Amino acid sequence: MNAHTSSVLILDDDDAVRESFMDYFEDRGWLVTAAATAGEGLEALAHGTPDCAVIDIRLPDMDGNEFIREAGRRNIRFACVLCTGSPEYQPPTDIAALPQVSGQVFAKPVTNLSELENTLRRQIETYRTKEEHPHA
Amino acid sequence: MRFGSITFKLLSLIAGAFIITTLSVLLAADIQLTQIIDKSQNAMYAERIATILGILTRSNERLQKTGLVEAYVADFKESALRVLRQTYYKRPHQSIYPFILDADGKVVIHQTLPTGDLSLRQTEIGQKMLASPEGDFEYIYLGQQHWCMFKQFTEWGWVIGYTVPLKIKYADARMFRTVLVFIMGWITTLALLTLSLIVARFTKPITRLTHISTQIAAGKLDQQIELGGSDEVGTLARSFVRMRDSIQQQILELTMERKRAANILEGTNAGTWDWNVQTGEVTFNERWAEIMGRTLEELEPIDIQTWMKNVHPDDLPRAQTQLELHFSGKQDYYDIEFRQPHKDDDWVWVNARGKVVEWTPDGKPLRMSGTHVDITERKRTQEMLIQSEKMLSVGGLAAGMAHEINNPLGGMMQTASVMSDRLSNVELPANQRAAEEAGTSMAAIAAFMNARGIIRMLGRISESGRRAAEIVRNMLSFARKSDATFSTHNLAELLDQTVDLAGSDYDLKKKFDFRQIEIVREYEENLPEVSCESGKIQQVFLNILRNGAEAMQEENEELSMKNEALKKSRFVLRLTHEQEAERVRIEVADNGPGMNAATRKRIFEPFFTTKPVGQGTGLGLSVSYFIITENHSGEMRVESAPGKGTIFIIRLPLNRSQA
Repeated sequence: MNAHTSSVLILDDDDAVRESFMDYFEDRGWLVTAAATAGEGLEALAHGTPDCAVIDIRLPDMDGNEFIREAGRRNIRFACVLCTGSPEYQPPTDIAALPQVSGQVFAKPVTNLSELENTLRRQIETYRTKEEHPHA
Repeated sequence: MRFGSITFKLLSLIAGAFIITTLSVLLAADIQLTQIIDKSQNAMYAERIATILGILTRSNERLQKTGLVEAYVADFKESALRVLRQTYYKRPHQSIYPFILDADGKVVIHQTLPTGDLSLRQTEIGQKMLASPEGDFEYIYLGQQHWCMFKQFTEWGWVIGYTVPLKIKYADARMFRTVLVFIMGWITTLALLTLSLIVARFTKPITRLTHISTQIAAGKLDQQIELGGSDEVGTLARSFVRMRDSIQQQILELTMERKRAANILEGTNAGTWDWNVQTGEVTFNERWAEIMGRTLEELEPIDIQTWMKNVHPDDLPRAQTQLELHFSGKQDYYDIEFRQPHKDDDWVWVNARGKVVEWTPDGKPLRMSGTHVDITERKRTQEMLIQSEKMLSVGGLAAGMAHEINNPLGGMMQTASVMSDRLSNVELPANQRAAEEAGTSMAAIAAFMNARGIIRMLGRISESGRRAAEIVRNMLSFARKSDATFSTHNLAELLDQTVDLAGSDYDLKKKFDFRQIEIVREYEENLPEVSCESGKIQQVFLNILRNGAEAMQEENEELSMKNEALKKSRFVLRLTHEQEAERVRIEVADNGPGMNAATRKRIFEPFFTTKPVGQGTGLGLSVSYFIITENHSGEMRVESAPGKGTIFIIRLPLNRSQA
């Protein structure tokens, strides 16, 4: 379907959620890596930078925001879509200001997975454009 | 001057004394006078008789000297009588005349009777005169009282008498008496007049005081009491003034006290009751009835039954228990809250308080007094507060557990979604590959899944998960919100947008079209904008519209099952500006089946629903209520009765901070 196979990191501590995302994206031809903790996620990043990531906020070791910051500190940047089960969650200003983070936050349960997929693709495009023309 | 007054009594006494004195004088004078007259008359007539006797004696002496008594006796008698006729009998007084009878009682000489008449011999006069030598007596002759004096002339056997009518005998005495009565009468009259003037002068202050006291007794206290003088009356008047002032002061204090009590009662807006526990008699004030929207006249006859009949039957036993506890001394006061029926078909909450103020000698309650205060508003506020607290706690609970529920829901629903995709998506290369590897085709698998209803089942899982997620989202609405998301909106626009949204959204059973409901708009022109959170207000409108539409739909379904004509469903939307209150009033009225009081009272309770399990979350209206009352400081209530449709009334302050 897609000429270019995109890669996605699924970071979620809930097994069922993580697996459902993995299954969905694998079916759609994505290259999927998954991590249940931020530590595992950072380890995965060490092996290669994905095009994008679906990041849960509440994680057992550090939260999703901190994971993005930590990756940033290690100069690893990729398109991010936040997905959380906390209905009241608002991204902190420093995270919201990052060019790689999508303004749309997904609430669990994600009832429309294709919308998430579309958002990921758009965010990859947007971030890539911004990186190529940082001052555009 | 009245009988019984002091003046009258004094004057009567004086007049009495005068009359008694006068009568005594008259009586004494009369007795004295009669005696004098009797003596003089006796002497006078005795002398006259003596003179006649003298004439007769001298004539008899001359007869004796002749020596020829037998021969001349008749001549001498005739000659003596001639002399008498020429003197005493010549022109005798008409009624006073002497007469002579002989020893046989025959008339010798008489004014009217002829000589030799014997008529007097048998009379009282004749008898008495012949019985003794001399004397006097009174007798009645021809109805007139007479007095007679007589003396015998023994030589010739004659009796010489004089007879006088008493009228003539006492004529002088009568004359004197008349004059005396006349004089005494005049003196008495004059004396009484003079005395009455003097007495009146003395008693005048008393009369005035009497008049004043009568006026004071009649309640006219501001009388002028100016009675100087140092006598008893003056002293009396001064004590009178003091007494009047003291009474006036006490009346003033009493009046003020009563007014104060009445003001306090009025200030508390309390109904009052005064109960004779032994007889059941009760006195209520007007306010007592007014609390129930009635007048005392409407409630007649008034007794303790009036109260018993006007307490909610569920509350009455509790009230009676309270009374007994107070009567038995276990509680100092009777204090209870109960419901009373209001004229407009509703119940009002009343706080009744009271105390026994009088006991019978054997320790039974005699009189009990107390008040009724309408606490319906307080109860309502209390209930609203409880409701809000309930909702807030639901909200707090939801905030804590939302994440924990949403994650499993995510696992479940997302997995179901992927499953559905894998089992029915014939286009998906991964599916096709796997089907081929398994020795079948994706089309066959999809056909199987559809035939066995697997995709529908997965849809059910997703649908149930969605509902659970909606409940969590709704529960999260029960939380206090900051002003950050508030902006001004035109409610007419918001309402119209919501109606459009409902038209596209309403598909609960896919067989009812919201757009078939008639919408009547009664919007006031130039409505001011309202500061609100538009999304939340739309959520409220949507909940109300959905609730009404479902109710109207259900009614029509029932009608169609009974093969009856369907009702044309209609919403009436009203928007008005309450300028005084600085509020906009939103009314959403449907012509559906309405609801009974029990449902109406619970409609805003979280998780209260009349719908079958699985069809409603029971949160829509309670979330709406919370959004309006908590987040927008507004008011939300419902008016409804079976068969009369339902009206939701929302009042939103123009500015939340002003509410």
